[in-house]
Amino acid sequence: MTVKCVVWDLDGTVWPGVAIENATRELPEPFPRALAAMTALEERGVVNSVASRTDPSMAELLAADPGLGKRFVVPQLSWGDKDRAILRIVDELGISPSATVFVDDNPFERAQVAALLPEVRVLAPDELYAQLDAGTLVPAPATEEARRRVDRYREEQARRAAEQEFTGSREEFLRACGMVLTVGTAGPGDLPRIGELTERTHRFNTTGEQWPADRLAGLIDDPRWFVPVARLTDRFGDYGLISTALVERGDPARPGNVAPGGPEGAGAGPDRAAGAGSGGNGRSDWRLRLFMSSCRAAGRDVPVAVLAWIMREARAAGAARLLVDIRTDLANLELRVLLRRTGFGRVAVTGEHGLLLGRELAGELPVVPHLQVVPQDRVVAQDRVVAQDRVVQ
Amino acid sequence: MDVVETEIRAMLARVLDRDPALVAGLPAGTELFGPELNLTSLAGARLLAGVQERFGVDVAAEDWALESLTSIGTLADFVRRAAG
Repeated sequence: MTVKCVVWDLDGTVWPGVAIENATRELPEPFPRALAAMTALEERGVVNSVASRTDPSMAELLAADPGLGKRFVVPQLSWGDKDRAILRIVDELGISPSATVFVDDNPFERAQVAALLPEVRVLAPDELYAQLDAGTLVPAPATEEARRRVDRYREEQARRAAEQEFTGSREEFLRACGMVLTVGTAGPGDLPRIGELTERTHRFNTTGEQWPADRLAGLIDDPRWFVPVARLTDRFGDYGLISTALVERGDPARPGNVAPGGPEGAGAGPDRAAGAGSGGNGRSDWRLRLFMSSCRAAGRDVPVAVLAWIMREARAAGAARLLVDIRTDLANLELRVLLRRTGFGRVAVTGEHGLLLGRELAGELPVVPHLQVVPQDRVVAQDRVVAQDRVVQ
Repeated sequence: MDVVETEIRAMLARVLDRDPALVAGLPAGTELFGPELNLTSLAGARLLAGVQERFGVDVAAEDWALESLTSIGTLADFVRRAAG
């Protein structure tokens, strides 16, 4: 499993000696090798944390340290056992113990963690440095999104703290976050991230179908297809590209006729005749062959807003219905409930666990009040409006 | 109101973190995704897990019965019939 977090011991690992034994309330100078390793890890999308057996009051000192304070997320400093500390860290970050590396100069601590948490990779400092240098611990980051993962953990900590302090309702908090969803059509630069979403999303993925990179690249230039992308920002930071879809535009001139496709090329995939193409009144349907949304921003109704935007695009292009292929044997129940909530109902069976859902595009379409939806090409103008607002205030 | 509907209302109050007395007093036709209850997809998924645990009815199986996620009454009707 990919390493997502390295948990550092402090005394003897990050710096020489035992900090609490210093007469002055100062932290020892860190080992340059340790600092360099932390930087290298961050650049590869791995977060650094701490499990140190020491006086809890050291936490304040560490947080205030200009060189180290900002490096660690959810640091654990206590007299308690390190396996417990590591479990608190993985719980806070929402990652698996098997995505965690523990580094400690003390063989006793290493042995204890190795015995109690066999999934955690346990290394001495020199072993960590050697594996980092050899590139065997973490590969170079695949995408800009991966490189930004460390910042995201920090932004998420700030967001959670703000929500806990917020006194109003959940909806009021969401409105106060100033969320802006920038929507547009995918370009070649978005392809690696779209590929990443097809592999990494589960909760909010309609079919789990894997599309080869060359097929995806072909779709963004194909006029019969629409590949929307949505990026989310709020006042805490940037979630990046969090939702995308592969949409077949119906052909208004030939209702009932949809673009050839499927992940493996023409002819593959579920039965394409079932319900697709014709809206029944000579108008075409648009069909979501795949819809994905990252759970990074779960609980914010991002998929609802993205689906509503696709509905508006389809309606503006003259489509009568929006259809969506789903598989019912995946861990996507929340998304299937969400589709009901946004007005989709059953249209046809397409396979053993395959269904086609759909909804009419006439009448009212869903609106998410706390998400401001801004078309990509108007982002610059939007920034200007925000700037003017600030001047007025 | 029978035991199925009473318990579904109690589960709804729990997954939505709402006052159980208030949810118990709503009309059976109250829409689950409407403004009064505003059932989120996550709360909806939890509700269905609760229904399966309590009544042994998998509303989400093959997606067929998700159509019953319309109002308190339609969900209760489906569960009552499926539970036999």
